Amino acid sequence: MKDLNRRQFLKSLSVLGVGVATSNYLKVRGQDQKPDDAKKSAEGGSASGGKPEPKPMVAVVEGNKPAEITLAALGILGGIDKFVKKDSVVVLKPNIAWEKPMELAATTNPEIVLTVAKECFKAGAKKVKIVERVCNDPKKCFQICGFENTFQKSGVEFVLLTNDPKEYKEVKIPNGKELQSILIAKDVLECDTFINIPIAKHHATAKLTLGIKNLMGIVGVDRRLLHHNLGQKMADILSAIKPHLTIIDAYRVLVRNGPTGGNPKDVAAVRKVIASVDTVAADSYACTLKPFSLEGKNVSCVQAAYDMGLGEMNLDKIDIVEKKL
Amino acid sequence: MIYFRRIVQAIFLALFFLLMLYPDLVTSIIPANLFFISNPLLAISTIIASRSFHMAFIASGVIIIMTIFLGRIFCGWLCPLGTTMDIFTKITHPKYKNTNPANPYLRQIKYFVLLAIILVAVFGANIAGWFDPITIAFKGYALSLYPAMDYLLKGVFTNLGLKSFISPLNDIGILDTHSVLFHNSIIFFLILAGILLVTLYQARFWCRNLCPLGALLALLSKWRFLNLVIGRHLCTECRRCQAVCKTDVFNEDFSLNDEECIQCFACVTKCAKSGVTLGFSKDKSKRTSFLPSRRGLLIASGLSILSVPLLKRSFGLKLGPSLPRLRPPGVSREEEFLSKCQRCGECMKVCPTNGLQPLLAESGLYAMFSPILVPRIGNCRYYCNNCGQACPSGAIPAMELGDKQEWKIGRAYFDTTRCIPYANKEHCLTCEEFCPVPEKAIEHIVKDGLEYPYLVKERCIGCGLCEKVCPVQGLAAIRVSPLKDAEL
Repeated sequence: MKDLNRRQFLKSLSVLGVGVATSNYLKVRGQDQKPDDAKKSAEGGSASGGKPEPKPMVAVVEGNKPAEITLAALGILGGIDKFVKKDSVVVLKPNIAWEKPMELAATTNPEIVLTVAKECFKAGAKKVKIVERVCNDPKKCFQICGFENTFQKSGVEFVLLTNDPKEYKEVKIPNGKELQSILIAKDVLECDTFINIPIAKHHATAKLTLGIKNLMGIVGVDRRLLHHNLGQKMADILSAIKPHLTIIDAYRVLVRNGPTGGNPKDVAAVRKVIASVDTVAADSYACTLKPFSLEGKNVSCVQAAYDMGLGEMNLDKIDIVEKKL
Repeated sequence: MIYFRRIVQAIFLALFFLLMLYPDLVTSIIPANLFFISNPLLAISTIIASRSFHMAFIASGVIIIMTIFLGRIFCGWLCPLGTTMDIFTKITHPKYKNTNPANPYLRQIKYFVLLAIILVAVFGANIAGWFDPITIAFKGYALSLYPAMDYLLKGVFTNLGLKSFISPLNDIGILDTHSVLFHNSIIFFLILAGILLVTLYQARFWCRNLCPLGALLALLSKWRFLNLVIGRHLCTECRRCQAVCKTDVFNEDFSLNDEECIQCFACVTKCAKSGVTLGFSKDKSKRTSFLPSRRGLLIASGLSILSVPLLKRSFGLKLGPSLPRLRPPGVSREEEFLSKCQRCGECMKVCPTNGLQPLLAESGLYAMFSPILVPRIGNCRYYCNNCGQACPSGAIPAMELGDKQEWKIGRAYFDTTRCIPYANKEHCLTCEEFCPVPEKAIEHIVKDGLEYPYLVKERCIGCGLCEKVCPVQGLAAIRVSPLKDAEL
């Protein structure tokens, strides 16, 4: 390699300078454009969800086998094919936040998640990922909650989110009341279908944790900082990233001492699965489950999301299809 | 024979690392604390200091019997610190030649160290862990070098865009799922590095001059059967044995410093005429030893005994209440705990949350390197009883998981001047959300639409998860205090 002389050095320096300057300019421009895109997509979203076209449908299936009732609920909604296209990437978001055995109903029943994953593969999904940001030790959570055993050789990829900012992308929330933007996992943003599979349970702060609150596990912000005015913040997040499908596991339900639980006496067997395209509607129905006996308006997440027009909360405006197996 | 020895050394160093990295993988076959429970120095010091016997110490009988029969095989063949020094010497001096003859005064130090440890133990303090080679090696590797390697590899992989390498390494346990970090652990590295650096002056400087375990084994090996023998009728006085000896056993006049021999077989292999052998008969070669004089021993005894009250009383230990001193689960009495704790660092290595941290002198010099739980770094995991299982001396009792889950390490207290609902009138309740006990120990009352948390003290086990997750930056608004201040 030739040694640089002064002239060459200056020349290349100036070229580099121009390069840096323009790239910076381009970057600024790029950022300028982003909100427009976000707005467009938000408008698109609200156009389909906001108008009271048909009533949102909530499928509620009761039965003794988690896998069967999950399949039946999907069937009522028209089958998974409606949501999962061929060669698409699907992200499932169960609740695996706590290291408690599944019998204690602190985490989503792995059988229900596995059933959905299998259906996705049947519909031709290229890849099925489970994305979750865990509260306790991730590895132990997967073991203790029964996911490790259930998902052996299933072909499902596990993405354990960490604090690394590179795993997330900032998304603007144009209509946000508490949050103007939020970091959301890239895996979720880049997937074709996002399926939310929470467990219905008691929660000390949110009263109940259901579909909306479950989105906490894809967010890159220190979750502790979201606890002030939690309901509104979760609703803001829902406005930024709407699941294509929400399947609430109410097979076993934690009634007290949530979200962690630990006492078998606090677990009630409801043996239901609730599924809907409308997260708010599904949550609102789940509030009324017998062991909780609440209404959507009692749970701040649901109320705030309804106020923002993100879904339907009034049960009489929801088409509830119940089935018993 | 040299090659055979090197293979054995490599195997035992590998075993040492294996047990360090996979404490639970091999537990069923080999206990994770094998190197500690089979260590006669730690056993003797702990038994004397705590006036109690822990069954696991029986394992140290193996080393004692081995030494009585075969001499300091442990030093030359098994000791991970010794092997580390040998590797270091091999790198720095590929053609090692013993040039620094024995300094009898330096050589006596190890006996003084041993004497001090035992005398201090008689007066109820267990300080063997500060000087024992196994604990030094373990702390250096596990608490200092391992976190550094973990950090380095993760950084390199991340910056090279090879992040996908990290997770399989996590899975096989080479890297940690968290970023582990131990307070002041640079000290452990410096001790290890210092021991290696002085080998530049004399090979196995530590073993020759300082090691109390070496001194103990040297005393035990006085009656051994496997002896060095110089066949004088074969000897051509080529002095190759002197040149290759790492512990300088051979004197100018071919008298032998017998107790210094670590049975490394270098002399036997290098001897031109097979004159030097290790055999089961004692020949008439003159033998010398470096045992200190009676006067030296008396002075050292006096100083050691004096050091006990100094250790225990002259480092501000009465600051009790202000000191955060949460001991691992199962520890009830501070004095008893410190007399049993070998300062080995096993519990800190196996703690999955990194919450167990080494003390420096914060709690008095005597408590140095003993473990405390620092909840802000890591809580005591509800589904874990690793530390009790790993503790080699029973300082942390081995409890069933169910018993550990009910053990009260301390009790959490709210600091209402910092707690968000009290201080800022904003919603929070993160502590209640995380509280892992089945009947939550943190509940709340609602006043004017705001939830105020409070503690149900009967249910709190002091695991510290609330303190860890408290969103207040800096000093948490809920903190775990010891139930009873340590009496010392």
